[in-house]
Amino acid sequence: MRSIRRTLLWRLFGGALVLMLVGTALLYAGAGWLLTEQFDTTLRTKLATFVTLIDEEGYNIDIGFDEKSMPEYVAAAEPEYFELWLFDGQVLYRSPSLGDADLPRSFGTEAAPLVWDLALPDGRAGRAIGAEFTIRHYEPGTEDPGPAHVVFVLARGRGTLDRALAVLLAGTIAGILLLLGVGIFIGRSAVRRGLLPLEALARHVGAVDDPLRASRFPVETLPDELVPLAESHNQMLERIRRAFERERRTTANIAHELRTPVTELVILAETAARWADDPRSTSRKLGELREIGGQMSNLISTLLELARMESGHVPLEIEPIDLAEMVRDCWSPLSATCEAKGVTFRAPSGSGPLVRADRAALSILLANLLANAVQHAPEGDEIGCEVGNTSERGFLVLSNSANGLAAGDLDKLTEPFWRKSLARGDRTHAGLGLSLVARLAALLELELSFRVDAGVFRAEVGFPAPAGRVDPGTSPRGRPRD
Amino acid sequence: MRILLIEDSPKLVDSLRLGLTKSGYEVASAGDGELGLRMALGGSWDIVVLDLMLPGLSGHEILKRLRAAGSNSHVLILTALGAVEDRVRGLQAGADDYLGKPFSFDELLARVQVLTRRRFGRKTPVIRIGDLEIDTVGRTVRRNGALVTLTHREYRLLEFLAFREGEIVTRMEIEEHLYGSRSLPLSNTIDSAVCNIRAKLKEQGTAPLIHTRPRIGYVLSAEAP
Repeated sequence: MRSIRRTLLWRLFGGALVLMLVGTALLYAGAGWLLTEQFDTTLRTKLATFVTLIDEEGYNIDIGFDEKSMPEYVAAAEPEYFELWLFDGQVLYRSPSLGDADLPRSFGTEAAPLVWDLALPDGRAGRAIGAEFTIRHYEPGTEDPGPAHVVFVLARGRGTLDRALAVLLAGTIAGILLLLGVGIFIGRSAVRRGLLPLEALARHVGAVDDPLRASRFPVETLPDELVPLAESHNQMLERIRRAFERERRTTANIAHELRTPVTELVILAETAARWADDPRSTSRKLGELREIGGQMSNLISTLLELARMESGHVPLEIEPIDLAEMVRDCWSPLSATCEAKGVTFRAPSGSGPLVRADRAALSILLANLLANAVQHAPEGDEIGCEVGNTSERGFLVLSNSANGLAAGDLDKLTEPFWRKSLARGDRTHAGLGLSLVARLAALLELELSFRVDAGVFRAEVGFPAPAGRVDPGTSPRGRPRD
Repeated sequence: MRILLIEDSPKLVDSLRLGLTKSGYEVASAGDGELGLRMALGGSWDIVVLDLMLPGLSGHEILKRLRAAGSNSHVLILTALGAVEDRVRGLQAGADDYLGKPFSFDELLARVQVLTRRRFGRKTPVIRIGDLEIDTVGRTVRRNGALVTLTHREYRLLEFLAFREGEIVTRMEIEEHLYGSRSLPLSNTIDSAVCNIRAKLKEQGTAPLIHTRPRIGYVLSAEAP
């Protein structure tokens, strides 16, 4: 399994190692160059010294070499060597340490002598400097034979240089290893500490086996990078919790809605069978049984219709519909109930806006919305209805007295069987009307919203961009004020 | 026995009223919470059958207020809320029993009978007083093993006296039990009914069981006062 910690550590250490190797190589090369340059500077100084020591005495060339003052050129444990030639190759002088051996006759100029590595006559590794130059001194009082052109090569063991370079290399490697060790320790600790909030979040998320009981993850102490993740997790938990609760309420409501009529059926049947001595009473009870059966059948049909809509398998035929006309059509069956309750309805007059929807689905939606308004309007109330359109959309607004409905109830309005009061109330109303309205609105891609304002409940349906007429009584510039 | 039925389903109320009345109970009903509470507090009820989800005032609230007012009526909760926590909540609030919907009438009746016996400290459905035996489930009366045929009202009166064996039961209590808040058609109705019961009991045994306490009421006891 991939691990952020391992990936981070590998990449961190890999990067640090490469950087350290490159840095160390550069450091070693630079320091080595400096040490070698220092060694070569010593060689140049020695060369310059010998240049001043070589002079002419007539036709003889003399080298002012003194074994006592320059014992390193005498045979010793680790001697140095020099050799002097005429330019034509004739050996003029060898250091005592050289014996009969010769040094390689390589050379540059006096200004830019040649320096190179070589194997010394005694087998050690050494470094030599060679230059050709013209002797500028001569012994006063002797005949001047003219300038003599000679070649001088000086060689010395490079043991001290190699040892210094080896120490430098060893120190550098030790430094790398030390830095690497410390880096691993610090890196692991830093990565571990850095990943602690992420691990805490992962543990929290991993421990969620029941979203209903899971606690919210505290985002206050989280680093900025993880806050969106934790907030998203918290929001998701909240959504799941709300969905579960809604589902549970719906299931409980369905059970409750079915238990009461089932009880009525059982008790009616039992009492009717046991005390069947009164034919009129029995006949009435049979009628009631039929009525309860019908109500249960309606309830089940509506539940099935809801399930069908939620599945999305509802064929739609979208066409232009006159909204005002359809509202009036849907109102007709409710007018008698409305009259009996003393409720007045202000139906939209004339032609309303043309909206695009499925006629059958919109008809059911409007009928349920209107029936809900009639159901919950108190006696003597007035149900307002406005239709119209703006440049962006068509709309329908139904308003009636809130009748105890609060703003906090609005998000439960479309839940199946939700009622403000726990009591069953009017048994002709199953509490599914607004659930159907919500499902239909989603199916038709309409905007459905509810609000309670100053004791007035408003249900608003927004339609997609309308394709036609504007109701003369409605401002085309915006929604009407209720 | 007087039962108050607080339930908002008219169909259920009608059927339960019929069944309970036919089973020998005096039944009154209320269709909403507020009326139910008023009736529960205003009358003397042996058993209150209480729905929880009521318009106006919930059953839980009614129960709470009943107990706060010191009512000792037995309360049988009758509701569609069948979850364990609902049952526990109802019983903890002072209910004596809990019956979840759907239920059968026989189960309701059996529970009502249990509550009736419990109200009078009885554990068995058969009451024995001397040679008298009253089966409160079968609603039969025997003396010396022989069946005594009583009218519906006579049975209820005898059962009421039997439940309170050895206690003086006042005429007012008997009136309340038999007729509820309704006024009696005649002032000597109770005395007349008692007289009839005595006569029927005497056919199967000689020892008097119902004893009169002048100007107070009656005592049912195997021993003479």
